[in-house]
Order: sequence, then C-alpha cells, then structure tokens
Amino acid sequence: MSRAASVAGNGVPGLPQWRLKAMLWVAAAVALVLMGKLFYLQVLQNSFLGGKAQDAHLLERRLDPPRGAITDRNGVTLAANRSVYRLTADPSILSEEAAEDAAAALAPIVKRPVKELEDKLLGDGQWVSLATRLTPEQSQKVRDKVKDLKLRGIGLEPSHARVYPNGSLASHVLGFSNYENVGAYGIEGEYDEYLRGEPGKMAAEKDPSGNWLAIARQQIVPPKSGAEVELTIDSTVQYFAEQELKRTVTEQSAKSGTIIVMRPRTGEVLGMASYPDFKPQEFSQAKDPSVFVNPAVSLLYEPGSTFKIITMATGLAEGVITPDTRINDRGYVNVYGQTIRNWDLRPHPNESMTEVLMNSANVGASYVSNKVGKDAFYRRLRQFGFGAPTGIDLQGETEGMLTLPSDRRWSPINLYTNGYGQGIGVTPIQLITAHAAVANGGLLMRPYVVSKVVRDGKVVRENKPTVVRRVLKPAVAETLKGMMQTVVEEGEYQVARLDGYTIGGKTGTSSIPKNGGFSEYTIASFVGYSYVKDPQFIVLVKIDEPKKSKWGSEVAAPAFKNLARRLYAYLNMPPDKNTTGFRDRATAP
Amino acid sequence: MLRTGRLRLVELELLIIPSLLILAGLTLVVLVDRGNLLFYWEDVYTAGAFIAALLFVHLFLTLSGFRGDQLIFPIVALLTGIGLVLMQRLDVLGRRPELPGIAIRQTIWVFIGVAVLTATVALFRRLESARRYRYTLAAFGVLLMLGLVTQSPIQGARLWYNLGVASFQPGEIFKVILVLFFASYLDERRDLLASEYRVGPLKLPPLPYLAPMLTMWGISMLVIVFLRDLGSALLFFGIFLAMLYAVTGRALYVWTLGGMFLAGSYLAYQIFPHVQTRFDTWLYPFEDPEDRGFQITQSLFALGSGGLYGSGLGYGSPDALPAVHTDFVFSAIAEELGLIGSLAVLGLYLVLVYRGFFISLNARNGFHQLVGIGLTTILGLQSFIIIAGDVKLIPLTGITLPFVSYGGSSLLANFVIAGLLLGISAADSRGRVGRR
Repeated sequence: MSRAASVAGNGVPGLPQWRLKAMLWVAAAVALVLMGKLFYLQVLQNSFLGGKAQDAHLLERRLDPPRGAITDRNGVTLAANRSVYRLTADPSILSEEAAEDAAAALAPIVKRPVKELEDKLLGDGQWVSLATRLTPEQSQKVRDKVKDLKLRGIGLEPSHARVYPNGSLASHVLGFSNYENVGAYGIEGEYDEYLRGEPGKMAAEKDPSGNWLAIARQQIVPPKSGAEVELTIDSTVQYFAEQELKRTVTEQSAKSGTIIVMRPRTGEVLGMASYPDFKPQEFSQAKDPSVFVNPAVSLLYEPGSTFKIITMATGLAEGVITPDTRINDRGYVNVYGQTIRNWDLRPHPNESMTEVLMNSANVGASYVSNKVGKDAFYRRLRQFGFGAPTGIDLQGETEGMLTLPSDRRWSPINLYTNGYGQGIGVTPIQLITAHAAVANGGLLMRPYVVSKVVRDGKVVRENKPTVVRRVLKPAVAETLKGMMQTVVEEGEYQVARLDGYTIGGKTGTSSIPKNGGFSEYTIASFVGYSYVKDPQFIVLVKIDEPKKSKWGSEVAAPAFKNLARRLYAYLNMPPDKNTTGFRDRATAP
Repeated sequence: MLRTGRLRLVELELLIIPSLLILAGLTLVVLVDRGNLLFYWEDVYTAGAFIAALLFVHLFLTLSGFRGDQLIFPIVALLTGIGLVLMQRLDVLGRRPELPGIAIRQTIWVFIGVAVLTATVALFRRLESARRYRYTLAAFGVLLMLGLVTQSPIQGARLWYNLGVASFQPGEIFKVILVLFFASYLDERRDLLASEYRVGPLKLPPLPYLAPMLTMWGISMLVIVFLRDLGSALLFFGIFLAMLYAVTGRALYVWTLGGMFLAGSYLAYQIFPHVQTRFDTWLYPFEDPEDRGFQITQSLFALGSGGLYGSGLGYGSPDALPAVHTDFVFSAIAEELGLIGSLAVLGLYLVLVYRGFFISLNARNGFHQLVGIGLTTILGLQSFIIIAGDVKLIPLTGITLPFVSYGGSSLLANFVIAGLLLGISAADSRGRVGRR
C-alpha cells in the first residue's frame, strides 16, 4: 500500500518515500533528545531542583509589625514609626566571590564595614539580615546597585523604625526601641508587650535571588500593629520642667538633676525630667549606657531636710507632738558618743515644731523621731512607702534603702539621723509620692505615667488613680500642711514664696557620702505643692552637686519658683490668696 | 493497514481513552480542590459534553462514509482532553487574575473547534480552489500579518488583533495559509527547483526560483524584528525548509537556508536588545532570575519537583509558573504527572507526527502530500519549539502547545489542521473525499 503511493495518480509523480522517512527519523531523533532532557531534569536532577522548589514553597517569612505610638495626655505624639527597609541576603546561593563583590558594593551604602557584611554573606542559612533601618533613598541605591552589578541573593524587606519627633523630650520616660524594634528602658521597655504588636507571617515563594514573592493572599497573616500608649505626661509641663532643670544644672555647673511634677490627688506624673538626658532616636550614639537609666525612679539619695516633713508627720500622727510643742534646741545634741548639729550650728531656744521646720533644725527633727520611738517611726516610714518600690509603671525602679531596727546594720543613732533624712536612701519618686500623700490629705497614691493602652480603638488597659493606703488622718495632714505653708511664707528665706499663691514646701540639702566621709558637694532639693488646700501639683526639684551654692534654698527653691510660675499659667490656676502687694496697696493710701 | 470499513471501530475504541481521561481528570481536579469525596452532577457536565462531542464527530465520519485515518482524531481528542483537564485544574486554583474562567472559555473553544474540524472534513474538496488562488491567499495572509504592526504590543510582542470580545492571533491562521501556498507553489515548480546549474564547484538552483526562498527568509527575519516573535519566525521558516526538502530532496538547501537563518538570528542578537535578552536568559537564567530568568527557572523547578511519577493531579503548585496556561502547560503537566506523564504527552505528539507523515506518504497527489507534510511539520515543530523551550533546550519563545495550551485562535487553527489531515487521508487523486 505504501509503495504504491510513491507515484500518485493524475500524472503527477509523488514524493519519494525515503525523503519522508528521513524527515520522520529526524522527528524521532529530536523527540529522543527531548526525552533525554526530560529524563535528566525530572529524574536525575529531581532531588536538586525539587529540593530547591521545596525550599521555595515551604519557607516562611516574618512580617514586622509597626510599633504602637506613644502620645502624651493631650495626644501629642512622642514616639511614632517611619517606613524603612531591611537589607537581607541568602548566603546559601552565594559563592565566595559573589559574597565579596556584594559586600564591597553594599557596604558604603549601608555604612557598615565591608568585613562585617562579608562575614554575614559567607555564613550559613538562607536568610541573614545585613542591615536594618535603611531609608527609602538608601534602599533605592541598593536596588540600583543590585541591578547594575547583577548581584544575586540580595533582598530588601519593608520594616518600621521608631521616630521620636521631639528630640530628647521625656527621653528617660520614653526609653527607646532598638534596631530590632524591641523596647528598652522607660515606657518602651515596660510596655513592650503592648507596643510591639504581633509579627505576621508570609508563606512565600522565594525566587532564586532570595527575594520573597507572596504567592497567594491567603497565605499572608498580616502583622498586628502594636497598641498605642497614652501617657499622663503633659509634654508642655515636661518641657517646662526640662528647661528649668537644664537651666539650673547649667547655671550651677551641677553634675545632674531631676524634676518631677505630679498630680498629688491622683498620682499622675505630669512631667519627669532628668539631666543629662539623651535622644532616643540616637540611642546608639550614647557613650555610656547608664544615661538611659531613669534617675527619677532608680537613683538613691539621702533626702536630707525634705524628709523632716515625713518625720513631723509621724510625730503628729502618733500624737507625741503638736505644731506648738516647744523644745530647747541648743544647736547640737550628743547621742551615743556622736554629736548631731544643726546645719547653721546655731541654737534655737524655745523652738516650736513649726519653727523646727522653718529653721530646718536637725536637732528638732531628731527630737521628734526619738520621741516617736523606733517601732512607730519605722512602721510609719514603711507606710509612707519608703524601703519599697512605689509601683510606678516604669522600668528600673529601685526600692530605696531603709535600714530597720531588725537589721544588723541598724544602730540606735539611726533613729536620730533618719529623723532629718540622713542614713536613709530614697528615690525621687518615693519622696515625692510620700509628700503627695501629705499634700492630698493623707492618701498614699501609686504614681503612674501611662493613662491607657489602646488597641484598634479599644482600651485594653487603663490605669486609674490607685490608693495604696491611708497614711495620715485628714486632720493631721491639714495640720502638717499648715506648718509647711508657714515655712514657705514666713520661713527664714521665703525662697519659694510666690505672691498670691498658697504653697507648701520644704528645702533640703544633703551631704553626699563618700569613702566613709562626706563629699565637699551636696544634693540641693526642694519639694513643694500648690494650692495648699486643694493641691493641683507637687514638684520635686533635686540638683546634684551644684557648685555655686550648696543649699537647697538657693539652688532648688528658685527653680521650683520659676517652674511653679509657669505651671500656674499653663494649668489655669488663679491666685488663691490675697497678695501681699495687694494688701500693701490697699493699706497705702 | 487499518481496516477501513463503514464502521470506524478502531476510532471508536480509541475514543474510549480520551473519554475516560476527561471524566476521571475533571472529577479528580474538582475533588482534590474540594478536599472531600462529595461531588455533584454538575462536576461531570463538561466531561459529558466533551464525550458527546467526540461521539458526534465519530458518528458524522461514520455516517458520511468517511474512510480516512482512524488514529488522528483520537489523538487530537486525547490532547484536547488533557488540555481541558489542565485548564480546569488551573481554574480552581484561580490565584492569578488571568486564570479564573479559563476552563469554560477553553471548553467553548474546543466545541467550536470540533465543529470546525467537522466542517473542514466536509468541505475538503474546496481545498482545490485554495490551490488555484494561492497568490490571493498569500497576499491575504501577509496583509493579516502586516496589520499587526498597527496593534499595541502585549508583553513586548505584537501577536494579537484585539476584537473586543476576544483577541485573534493571525499567526495561527497564517501558518496554515503558508503551508497551502508553499504546497501549491512548490508542487508546480518541483522539477525546476530540482534542476540546477553550476557556478564553479557550487550547484545552485535556478535563480528565478531562488527568489521565493529569499523572500521567505526575509519574512522570517521581519517577524523577529517587528513582531518580536522568535517562535513564529522559527516555525514559519522550519515549515518552509521541511517542505523545500521534501520537494527537492536537497540537504544543501536545508543547510544553506538553515545557516542563513542562524546568521540572521545572530545578527538580530547583535543588533536588537530584546533578542539578546532572550538568548542571554536562555544561556544564563540565574544571572537575572528574579526578572527575565524567572520564567525558565520556575519551569525547571516544576519539572524537577515532578520527578518520575509527579506530585499527582491537583497536588502540585503550577501557580508558581508564570503564563502556565499558555507557554508552560507542558511544565505543569510534567510537575503533576511526572516523567511518565510528560513522556506520554511527548509520545502522543510523536504518534501524531508519524500519522501525519504516513498520511502524506499515501496521499494521491503531490499537492496533498506537500500540504500534509507542511501541516504535520507545523504540529511537530510547534510542539518541539515550546517543549524544548520549557526544558531549556532552546531559548523560550511564546508559542502554544498544540491542542493543549489555552487560546482560541490556536485551538481553531489546530482543529483545521487536523481536519485537513483527515481529509487528505481520505482523498483520491482528484481531491475528492472518497465514499464507498
């Protein structure tokens, strides 16, 4: 049948059979080559290519969540995020040469040492982070470089970096979040579990260059952004406090300092400034990591004369004294072979308790603590919160140092020295909280800096004013407040007096223990609040090692006065008492 | 060889295979996606309709007393069935915007294609007129192709006419026209072409008859340059070479013109950046794997992960392949059905080509023989170009896998080709489809 076909009918000769057969053979040969290639790819290369495909399909990538914002009580942004990129690589597909090339090309863009990148690129694994926080411009440069030099295995992943738009404002309160977006110190550290959010997952296909391509929307678990944290801090108050602190520290050539502003009735911290401070944005440039520690909650110091208020409170509460209890202060007293002296070394005969505060007399204060007795005195101090953390929601709070009679290190002389604030270690937050308890009528409040945490519009945590315990009966507190008002208005220097406003307060000057003796420098402090009847704010000013003057009355009290003046205006606090000036004018004609 | 009676039993028996394949294939795809054994009658509607269409063609051929080839149609049905199963598989996947809906569209095209095949067989006698009006036909074809320059390029190539409801790829029809024209032209001049004269040691064909060859070469080069379609150029030129060789039997022509094509391609490589990228991508796919090399590396991954037995229908990840429904159907088959599946598909094309040449061999006149050779070359060469591209044997070009790839123009043209081959197998020397 096929033979006959070679010559077709109609007079037209058909095509020779062999030509068609030859073409068929060619087709068969080509098919054979294809089959060979298929066998090679599908069977011989199966484990290699299939393995690669497996990797591509199985690997998951983490999606960084944006960190929650931090705002002040009025919604002013204190910490937010910006879009950045992470430079990644897949070392498993890079030859040594390729790794060296890539390191040399990318190092100048990301500003890292070539060696560092090279080491990472030559490492094991399929994913390595070469650099974080690349700006969009930097990442574009990387992309251009990758394209120009045909670099393989280099990827850019979108991420988030923290921004602190207000420079160093409230740096100690905020803390910072590091390059891996993990919070450290302050709110960033304490509230990290709320702020950090939940990373998402992307089951992605990885192309041979190590980039990730989402293959399906269903396989992306989007990251949950972190919750927003709203602070009790008022950034304006914070700014006032920082400005005043910086000015004072600079003027006095002091070593450091702290100012805390608080609402006495609630325990809300309105401002918490410490100097020297740092810029959270540039945390990596800090020379000494100790600058991150918030002195306001972690630094111990001897409170000195400011503590006499507390001593007086214990005496009044125990009923062993009244404001009018009088003693004969000879200017010194000998106890257990030691001599306690007044700071001015002067005697104050027939001195009332109010006058003890006005003169800031050590002898008088130790008289009170001794009169109260060690059991009641220390019980009361512990009630005021000394020797225990206040529970403020900031990282690194310390508990202070209160040596109790049960302690081996305690000696009877402590009862005397503790009375005027020596031989006891307190943190600024402890002291101001104790003073706030006096100011607000006897309630020890738990201080706090975060008012609420909001996730997706829902409040997930709210801090409300918390009463720790009642430490003074209201009547006793009122008595003490009256004494303090007198101290400010009629005391020796009247350093903190502001016409038209009722202020209660006390200065403090304490020596700094050094090598068994005392340093030539002091810590000058002032605690004050206003109004006396209805306290709106309480301020602690503490300046370490001022050089021009060593007295709290000359260093800290003026700073308080300046700050208070601005707070009156900002917090809309009208004068609550007839001013002396007004009275003068009224009587002048 | 095969019994040619009124009953086409061989064909009927062979049609059982594509019928079972589509039934099992479509059901499997739907069930795997659904994840349990629950199934609805709707799931088998398409399969049932397809089987009905096969029976319709078979009954038509039987009842019209058609005594032509009984293998061509079952093979075509099998390949089309594989295509339909695959489109359904990609459709349920639906992860890329171009995929959902392709199964139903492909099904519609297949039914139109089956009708076109039947019509081609029925109207086969009219083929003689194509022989007479060959220049008109050629001019029409060339105009159709030239018109493409007016179209805006899709993915860098101008291959489609946008007709609103559907797009039409004239290249698919053009290749059939090309075969008819060549067959007519070469059949008339074969003696002259076979003669020669000598210039020194070289034997050359008569110069006036050399012109068409050079024209053809020129057209191929133009296709590369202006339409950016390497695959089509290779296909057109390959058809021409195969037919020229069949007529003259001179390997010298093949070598010379093949060399010219290579030279032209090399020149194009040097001059045109897009040709250059195509070749570079082929040679070094891992140099730019995220962009240009992406397609071929993904294809290699798919082939490699398929292994000997494949991942199983519905268990692979063909969505990782770009243009999986057109350029990379073969890779998708190889991934899910393994080497066994890919060799089987390859084997089907080989049998198809064998049948094509066999039909040509037995054709009753030279024109039919040449048309048969040309059409068979189209099917064979096109399959080769795309499969070889998928396995990185040659540079990848955007061309369809006959009967399997998604695409209306391509399917219709392929059914026309199948119809013509059937017609040739049954025609007598005067071109009439014989009846007994």
